[in-house]
Amino acid sequence: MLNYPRGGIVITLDPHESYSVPTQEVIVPVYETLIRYDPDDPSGLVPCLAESWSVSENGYSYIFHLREGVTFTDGTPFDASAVLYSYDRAITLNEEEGFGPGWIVSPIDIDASSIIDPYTVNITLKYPYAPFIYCVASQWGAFIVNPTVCEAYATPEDPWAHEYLKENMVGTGPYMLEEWVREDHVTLVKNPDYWGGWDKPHVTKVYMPIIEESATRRLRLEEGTLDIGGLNLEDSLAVNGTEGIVVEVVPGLTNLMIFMNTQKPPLDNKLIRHAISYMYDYEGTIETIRQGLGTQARGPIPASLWGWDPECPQYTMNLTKAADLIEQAGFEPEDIELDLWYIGTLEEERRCAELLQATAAQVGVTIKLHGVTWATLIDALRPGSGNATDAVDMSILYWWPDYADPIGFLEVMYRCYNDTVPTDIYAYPFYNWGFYSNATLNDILVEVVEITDMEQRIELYHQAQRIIAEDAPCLFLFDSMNILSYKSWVKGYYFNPLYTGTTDFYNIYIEGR
Amino acid sequence: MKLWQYILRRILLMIPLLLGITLITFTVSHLVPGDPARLAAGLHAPTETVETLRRKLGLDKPLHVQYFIYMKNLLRGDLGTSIMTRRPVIEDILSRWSGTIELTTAALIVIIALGIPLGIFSATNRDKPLDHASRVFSLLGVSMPSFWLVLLLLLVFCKYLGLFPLGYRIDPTITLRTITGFNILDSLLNLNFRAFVDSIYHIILPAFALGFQGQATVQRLLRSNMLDSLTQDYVKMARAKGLPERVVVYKHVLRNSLIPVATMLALMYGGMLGGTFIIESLFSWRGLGRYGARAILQLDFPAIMGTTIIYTLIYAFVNLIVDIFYAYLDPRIRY
Repeated sequence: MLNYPRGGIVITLDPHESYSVPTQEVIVPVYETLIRYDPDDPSGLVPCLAESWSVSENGYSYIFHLREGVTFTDGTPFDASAVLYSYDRAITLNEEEGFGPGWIVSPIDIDASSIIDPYTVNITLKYPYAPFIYCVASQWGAFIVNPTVCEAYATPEDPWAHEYLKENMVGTGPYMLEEWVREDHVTLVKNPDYWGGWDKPHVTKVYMPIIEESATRRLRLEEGTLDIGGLNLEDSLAVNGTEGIVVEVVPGLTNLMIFMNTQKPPLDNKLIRHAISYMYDYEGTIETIRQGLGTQARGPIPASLWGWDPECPQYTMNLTKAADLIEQAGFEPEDIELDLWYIGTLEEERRCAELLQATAAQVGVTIKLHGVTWATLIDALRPGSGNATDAVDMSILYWWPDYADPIGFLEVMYRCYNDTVPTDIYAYPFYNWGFYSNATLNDILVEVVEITDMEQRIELYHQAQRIIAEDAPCLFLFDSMNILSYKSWVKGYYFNPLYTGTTDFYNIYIEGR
Repeated sequence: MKLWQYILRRILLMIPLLLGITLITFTVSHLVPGDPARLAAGLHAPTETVETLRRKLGLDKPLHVQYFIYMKNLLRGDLGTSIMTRRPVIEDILSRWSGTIELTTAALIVIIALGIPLGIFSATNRDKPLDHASRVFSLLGVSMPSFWLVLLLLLVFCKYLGLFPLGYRIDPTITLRTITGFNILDSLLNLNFRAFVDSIYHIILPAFALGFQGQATVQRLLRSNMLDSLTQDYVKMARAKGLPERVVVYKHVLRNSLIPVATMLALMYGGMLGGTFIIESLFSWRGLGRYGARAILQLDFPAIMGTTIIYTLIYAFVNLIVDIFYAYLDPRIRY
């Protein structure tokens, strides 16, 4: 048995409703997607319920060849009808009920999609969307559920059997739900008929208590009542070197940005934004705040994601240059006073904000800090007037992608839908906290999802990153590294940066406990 | 007025009280900045999803309409569905209230066990060095904010000394069959000795933190009451009769001084419920206080309202009991 701590309660067991990490920790081992993301594979994608796939030249249609001989845990065979049913369910529940994650597969045109034969399915999109193949491999919303079970429990008020799937799990994955004690623990056991087989050593049972505090987890890891620690940075470093505990550093896909409101003076002046970009102590952040775990970001997407541009310009701390740029822009440093908002409970955000405040003060620029709740921050970013010039000057944001395509970073934070009204906050996606708009970039972001040629896409992504870095709508602080801590008897533990917060138990085995 | 008439009147008075409380809580919680629909839809959800959910949750309607819908459902006994747990609020509350009552009761025991002996001791040793010491201790108690005390306790007893566990009601590896929801009672009913010891071990620190201020108040009140009584004629009379000092203090002085303390204790019980918001959050204690605190942070309106209503009811109920009890303690009081 593997003892694994979870960070919070399971809200729902319905894979098309769940959009929170502590819930997903239980869903991912039980439900599967057609394909999975693998950062070590050249294409980034590996088979799961689909053995192979192809895209039509116009980018509209995807053919998936499904794995044969797969059954759900109730014995029903998995086939093409389950795929169409599942996507239909995810999309409808998202559109009608506002369930979180179904938007990921929303480019699918269900009516135009079809079953070619029981093990071949044609998924047609409403519009060409090249990142779609990565959406299929997302750990949110793209799971295949069992239509037989759903239809058996459907009612006229609840045609998708949400009430049943909320409380019960029937998946194709390596594990099944044995016990769910609400707000206490979850136990998973092996699915004896799993298509991957149980010939090799695997964990056959996972006990998952809720243990929120890292300090408690650490004590348990040390005494051996937890096999995997899930510790925060501070505790991981503290147990590093302890006999019998492995601490491992792996690249992640999360990055941290400080956005600057590009519609609001003086930050609407690119020179001022450049000046502030030169004020930040990037190296100091990695050394002291991140304890060496991370690298300075180069542009808006993390270095471990495909499409990242190694040539993208990067800012380093240079206070003289910052002062020169302010002068060049026709300002006195003393006249610049900016508000920087962050989430007060996030220690790392606070420290980064304080660091910028300190170095800016050396130049003569005043930065006032506002540590607030998430809700207050959102409110400050969405002023009632709908005018971006009334929003806050600067704000800090962590981002991680929902699927492994750079568009997951670029579209949400740097796109503008209507650049003729740049001060209208509704012209921007919700997370474009810099209210940043660049016509060339907007065109690239439209084109890059329409074409399927990988080389061309990568080239467009490189261009996009350079434009953004040059315009500097935000400070690119760092790409994070994740830190794993576990007992040395745990083998095969692997961190998939896209599937943050969830663990591939199937490939783990215990040796020498 | 007869006692039953009095009780009936008090219960009827709870209706305007509840109406007022719901109105104030509803207005204040909706005036706080933030977007509960976005929090509920998931941080990365696109705007369309958030808007759909907003409609589903009824958050797109004008505030007064939302209030009337809420009150209409409330009259039918429906407290709504929590946005964060997606469960009926009443179920959430029922699964948590025992944790809060258990903790508050334990805190009351701390208050009695510390406050009363220290108060007696202080009064009978008036102006001696130990009296001063215990008065400093009580002054510390009434003036120290509880959140600060908790942090201090956690730091010293959990982190540095490692004497107590860092939160939770019971060790997560212990399985305890739920009967009443009160872990200490359940472990006895299940004859699970390990769970019993562990539950007590877990409750000591939070109960101490919750009751610390109360014990100081009790100590001070008892001391001044006793000092007052000690100068009364009936005490002089008792002493003149040649009764031993122990009998004078415990039989005559203490008994009379305890009446206001008893009232105070009951009122404190209600007052401490408010303290559970902070104490439970800091100790990861599964109870209503932590639930309410989280609901506020997540802007989970149905949960905020539900918690407030339940706390109001408990508070009003405890007050009623105190008033009735008072009549028994002091026969001069009539309603």
